[in-house]
Amino acid sequence: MTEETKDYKKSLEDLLSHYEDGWEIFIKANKAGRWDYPVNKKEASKDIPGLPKTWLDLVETAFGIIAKEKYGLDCYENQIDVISSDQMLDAYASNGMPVSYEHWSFGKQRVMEEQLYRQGKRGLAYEIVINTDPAIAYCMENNSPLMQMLVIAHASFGHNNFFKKNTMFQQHTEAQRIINHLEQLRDFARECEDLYGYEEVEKLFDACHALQYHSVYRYPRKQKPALNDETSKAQALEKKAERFMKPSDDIITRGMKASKNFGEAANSNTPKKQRIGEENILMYLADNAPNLDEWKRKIMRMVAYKSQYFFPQMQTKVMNEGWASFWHITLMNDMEELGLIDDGMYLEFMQSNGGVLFQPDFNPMNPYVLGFAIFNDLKRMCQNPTEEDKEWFPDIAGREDWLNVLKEAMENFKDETFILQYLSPKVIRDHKLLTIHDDSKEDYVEVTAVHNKKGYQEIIESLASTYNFGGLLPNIDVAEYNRNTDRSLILEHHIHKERPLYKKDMDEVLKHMHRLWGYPVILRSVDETGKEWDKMACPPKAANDTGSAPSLGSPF
Amino acid sequence: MGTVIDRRTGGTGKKFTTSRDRFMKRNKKQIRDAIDRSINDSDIKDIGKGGTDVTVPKDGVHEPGINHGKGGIYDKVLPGNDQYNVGDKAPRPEGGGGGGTGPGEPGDGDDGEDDFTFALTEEEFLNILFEDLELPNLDKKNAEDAEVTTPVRKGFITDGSPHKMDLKRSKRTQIQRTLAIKKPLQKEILANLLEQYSILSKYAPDYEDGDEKKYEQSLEGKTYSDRIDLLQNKNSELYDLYSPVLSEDDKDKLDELGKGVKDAAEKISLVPTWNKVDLRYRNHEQKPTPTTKALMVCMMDVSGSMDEHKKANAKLFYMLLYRFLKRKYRQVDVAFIRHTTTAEEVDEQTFFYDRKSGGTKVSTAIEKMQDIIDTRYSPADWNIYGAQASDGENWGGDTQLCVELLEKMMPQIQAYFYTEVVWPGNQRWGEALWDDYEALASKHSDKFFMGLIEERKDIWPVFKDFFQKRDNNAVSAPSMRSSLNPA
Repeated sequence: MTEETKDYKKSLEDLLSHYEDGWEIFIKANKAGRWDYPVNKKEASKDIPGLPKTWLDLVETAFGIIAKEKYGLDCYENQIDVISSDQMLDAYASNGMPVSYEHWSFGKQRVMEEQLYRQGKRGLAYEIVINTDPAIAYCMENNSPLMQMLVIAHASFGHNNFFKKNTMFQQHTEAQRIINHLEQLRDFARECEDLYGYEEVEKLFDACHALQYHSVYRYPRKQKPALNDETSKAQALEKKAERFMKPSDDIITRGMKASKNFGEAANSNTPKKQRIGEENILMYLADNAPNLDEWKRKIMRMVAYKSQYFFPQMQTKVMNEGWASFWHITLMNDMEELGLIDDGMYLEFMQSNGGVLFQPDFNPMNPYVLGFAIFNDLKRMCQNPTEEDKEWFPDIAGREDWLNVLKEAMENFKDETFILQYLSPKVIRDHKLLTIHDDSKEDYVEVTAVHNKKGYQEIIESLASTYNFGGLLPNIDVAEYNRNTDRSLILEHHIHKERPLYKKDMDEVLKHMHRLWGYPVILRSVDETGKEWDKMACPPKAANDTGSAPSLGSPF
Repeated sequence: MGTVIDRRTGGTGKKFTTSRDRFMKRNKKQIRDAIDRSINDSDIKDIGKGGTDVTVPKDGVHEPGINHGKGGIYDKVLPGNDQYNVGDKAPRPEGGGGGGTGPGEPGDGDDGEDDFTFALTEEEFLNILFEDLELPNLDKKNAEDAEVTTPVRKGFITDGSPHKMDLKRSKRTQIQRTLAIKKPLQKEILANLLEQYSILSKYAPDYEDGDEKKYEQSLEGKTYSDRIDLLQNKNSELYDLYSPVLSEDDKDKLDELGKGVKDAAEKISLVPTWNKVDLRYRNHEQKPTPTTKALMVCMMDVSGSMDEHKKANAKLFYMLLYRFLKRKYRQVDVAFIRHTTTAEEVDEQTFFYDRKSGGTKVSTAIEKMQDIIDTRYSPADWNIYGAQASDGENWGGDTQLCVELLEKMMPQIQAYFYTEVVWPGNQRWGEALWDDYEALASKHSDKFFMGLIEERKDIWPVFKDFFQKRDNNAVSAPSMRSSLNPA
């Protein structure tokens, strides 16, 4: 460890020795209040290529040395974009992505964010970082120099490392492809607008957006080919292309098939069909809707790909923010120890940090706070284990390589499992957590667990379950497709803790689905025992049909 | 080392213009309603300036999604407990009714989203405000001798002003010209060189009959200048080799051929790279564009009976009119007339901001308008409109004169707008203008419009009524116009 330590210090000394302000350069920039502080190289170093040319670049390089040489953080290349507040608002309206297709909802989002900001109801983020390769971090122009340092440590090393190493991101996203994909989607959408009119395309996007959280594969389906493996990549592309080329279901032949099977289906007692069980509803519609234009299928698949890309962010909010916070604190502490920042800067840092890691009592846990607390406690367990730790975490307590323990925790989990695995009694006690049981059938709420020995396990499980998919959003999948009768599509909502759907919206969503599917779409709400609690349909009368009898409304 | 890019100069807020337009288009009706409501609260002089907040109902902007509704069981984990123990019960906190929240979406019932307020830019505001309004009976007049012409691209010419020079075209003709001149000369040089070669190659020890032909064929496919270069090198090489053994005869021949080459080369060098004849200029033709010219005569009563309330409303009406004309029509002249017992033509500033008072004789203003038409604006060329604002009071007997004057003027003008500004519920009947004008309005229903403004909120509806888009087929008065417009 000592040898390594010496190495990164030397690297830093080497780097800063080229500059006139040397070791003082960060302090001086902060005193000047300029993140575009001039970085003048010494006369002798003028011609050395590859030295950072701007102060922000120098900050990134310095953090990079510590992150890589001291802690071995594996990150994508960094790209830091300095943007204005207007551009930050732009970024909000496109999930931070630099490329986006046109849709009225983004315009709405943009004016809404702007209004909130102008009225002072909402401040702007200091940064946004996106999971691309290179990782693009947007930093606001009115951040102070110290703030920029904090932001770069947080985003360009914390989040960046998380994007690159966390299993959810590895399974679900392709950082190298996303920008390209979004460009393709944008261009294709424009092409379609020219060909079919923008209202048609807009309607399609409306439908896709209504299903946006249900257009993801929650579990990885297949081994993703390594991106540097050209043959498997080509094969995958070919396969994909084949799927795109698949002719849309021809209405006449299908109709003939349907009418041929019609008698059989009605007469014979066909055994119960196997459940389809597809949770990626949009993709299912794109692949199986009987009469859909090919361009619509293509756009739907492309939007589903985009949703898939954002899926891990939803599932790892606590971990991702916790990890980034852990590293901005760690890296800034290193800076202070090395004397690269002075006491005043450190105080400013602590203040900003306190603002980010703020947790009001009796409010839902701030993911930054929760994530950081767990990671930080893991480190403590390694360095100062207690008897309790040894009992709860025998594999971790007292381990010497705390860095590896943390990296393992970061790499292999998502929020739900991370909390189940690592939330310790100490963190529960520190934050005085309690569980409140809120059953809408009762007119009171009840405390069911507090931070004591009896309550720990329940608190851990309750907290974890709030981060599972069903805890966040209704769990709906495609159950049946009555291909041979009225072609109705049966969806099932698996009720989680008796929670009903928001029916007003669901009605609209079903209408969208019906438009794409072309035949009745029926949604059943069922509990674990299979008992049906509720049924909705579009068109509404389809709910009365059993789904197996052919309806007179069929087009044949 | 990473990359740092300062993006601040690039594309501020532009990224979402299309999406924003689409959002507005989608909510056009709501936005329009909101504008109609807001126009009564805003200062008409500065209407739309600095952005105007409009509110559209949430239904128009709601994006449906799959979310949990009210109800069900939630086991919430919250921090900061220092007072409760297991088994403690508490009434459900207000609004905390087990609402599930999806990412960014309201989970609990109908009141999740408020009505949606945002700011329109001045540009957007005025565009929408005046979108469906127009000057009625506006005719396209005077296409032939219109002063306005638009330049239209019309090919290329060989002379012109330097700023119109087309480099690409010029270069093209330059290449064509030099090629055309050089080619025969190059051919000549080549022929001479080949001749030289055939003489020299015969001295080669391994010479076979037809060797020079073969060499000539091997050169084919190369450019002329390449061939010339190759042959020249080859020939001088051979000449150096065989000069001691050359016969006198051949030497003379070679010299002569060499002279021919030299002459032709000299001629080529004299071909100018650029010549005036190469230059090409973009040509533009001035094409006359049919223009619609219009004159709006604004007349306002500034007599003693027009108190501040009435005057203020009349002025607001004219300000709206002025902004509307200036925004939507490029070729509109506006004349301002104010009158008491006499009428005078004034400038905009005086019209809107100067004070005056006295008796009332409306006919003087109409006479003044007629005077302007007769002396400056020929009805054959101009679409002429009159707008009059008055409280309806007039000098006894003058009203009849007004009607006569207007009746006479009617065939010359496209439309006449009469606005009566009064105190609420205080419109005067009998001697007032309104009654007599009503007869005019029913006679010329397609071009005589009347509106009553009692309060500020009446201004916009009256204005909209005056300038609403009318179905041209339904309102037709061809006879009157055709008499003026022989075409």
